[in-house]
Amino acid sequence: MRIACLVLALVATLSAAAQELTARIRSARPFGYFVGDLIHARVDVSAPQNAALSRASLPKPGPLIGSLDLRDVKLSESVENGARLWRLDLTYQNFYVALDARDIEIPSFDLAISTAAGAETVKVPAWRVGVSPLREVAPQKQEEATDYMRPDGSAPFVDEATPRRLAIGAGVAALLAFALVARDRAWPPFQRRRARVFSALANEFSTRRAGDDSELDAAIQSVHRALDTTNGATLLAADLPDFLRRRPEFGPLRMDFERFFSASKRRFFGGEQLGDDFHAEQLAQFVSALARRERSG
Amino acid sequence: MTFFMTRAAALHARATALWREARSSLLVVLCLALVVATAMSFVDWRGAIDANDAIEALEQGRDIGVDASARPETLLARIAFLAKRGEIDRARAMVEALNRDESFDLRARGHYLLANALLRKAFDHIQRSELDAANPFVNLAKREYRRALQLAPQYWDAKFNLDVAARLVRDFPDFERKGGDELSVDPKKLWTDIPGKPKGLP
Repeated sequence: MRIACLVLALVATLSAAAQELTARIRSARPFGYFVGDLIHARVDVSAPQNAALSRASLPKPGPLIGSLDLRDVKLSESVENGARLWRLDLTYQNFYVALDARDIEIPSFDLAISTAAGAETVKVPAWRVGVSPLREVAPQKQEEATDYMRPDGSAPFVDEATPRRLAIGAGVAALLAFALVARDRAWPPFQRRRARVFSALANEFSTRRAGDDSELDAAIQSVHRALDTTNGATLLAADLPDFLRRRPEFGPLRMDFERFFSASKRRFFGGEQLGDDFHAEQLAQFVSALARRERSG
Repeated sequence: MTFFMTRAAALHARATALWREARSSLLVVLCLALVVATAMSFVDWRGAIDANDAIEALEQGRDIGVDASARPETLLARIAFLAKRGEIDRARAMVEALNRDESFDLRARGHYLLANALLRKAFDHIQRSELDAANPFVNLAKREYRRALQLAPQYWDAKFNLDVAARLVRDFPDFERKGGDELSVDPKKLWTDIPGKPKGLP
């Protein structure tokens, strides 16, 4: 607890059987306690190695006498030079209101220890600490009786700064994250992003639904332009394996690519006016799948 | 060795692929989580501002009702308000509500305010020479000061006022009763009469 423990060394109790059962009380400061102050004491009990301390005999925290509380009892056990050592850290609280500096008594207690010779009790004796008054015996005369008291004091306020800082910080972070999401999905103002041609195209498709055939033609052509942009050169059906090798993120869509190219070929060169296997919906699905694959690239 | 290296490379490739797959959705999740966090901290901030407004109004003497589930600082301001007006029973109910809080300092202050109200009531009785009526109030005040000190041993105002209360009504601990504060005097040396008492009829 404290290095400069002043050893009170009150006692070395020898049991009747002349065993080396000893109890020693140390206190950091045996004087100068005001009302409400905590008094720390350390009791060292040493016994033969085969002895055992009954935990039930330890003093219980609670009020001891009218003006003294025992607040805390901590026990630690160790073995030194063939002797067992129990260290009790006791915390008392003084409630005696002193009118003058005087000693009050900390009551004694017994510890039950069982040794090879049988059950023994070690008495930790009573000891005294000096308590001090806080005020004069006869304070200066006051006009009102309540002037002798300390005032109520001002009320503490709730901390506003921390939640404000948290709210602002979280808000800024949320905006940043939203900007990242918008960039990732090529939402405005990121729709011109070069690397996100399919996302931009998907946005365009979702706002303008292809109605008649001429619009579908235009849509298919715009998909071709987007594919060309992504490829860096005109992409034809024959270039597909090469393209998929260079852009592996589009690999899972190989079947869709092939369907798109064959449909496009039939529509523009095969003379079929009604592409019955390739509708506007399927084109939109293809483009949104392309956009998804593009984001994962 | 090469086996492990190819294994590691394959693992790395799989992790990269997984990250690429999930990145888009993870960004959305992160954004939503941050929006929720912003909303929650904003509500918290607004609550703190409202609580401080209530505390200020109570300090200025405006009677504002406070729920028992309010913030501890608001409860304390309400206790101070009630204690100032000597409404001990209502203040005590608030102190009990405050005892659910975990901050020892705030709880100690609640007990201190209640004790001050009790002690002021006791002084009130003493000034009207109703000593018997004052007695229980002093003892209750001492108990509350003791509670406050048990929660916050370094609460100097509570120490001081406990000193004030304890001098009004002394309690005599065991050691004082058997201790030898009394002077052992030869009975013959004691005055059996007050010297200077006028003799004869006025």
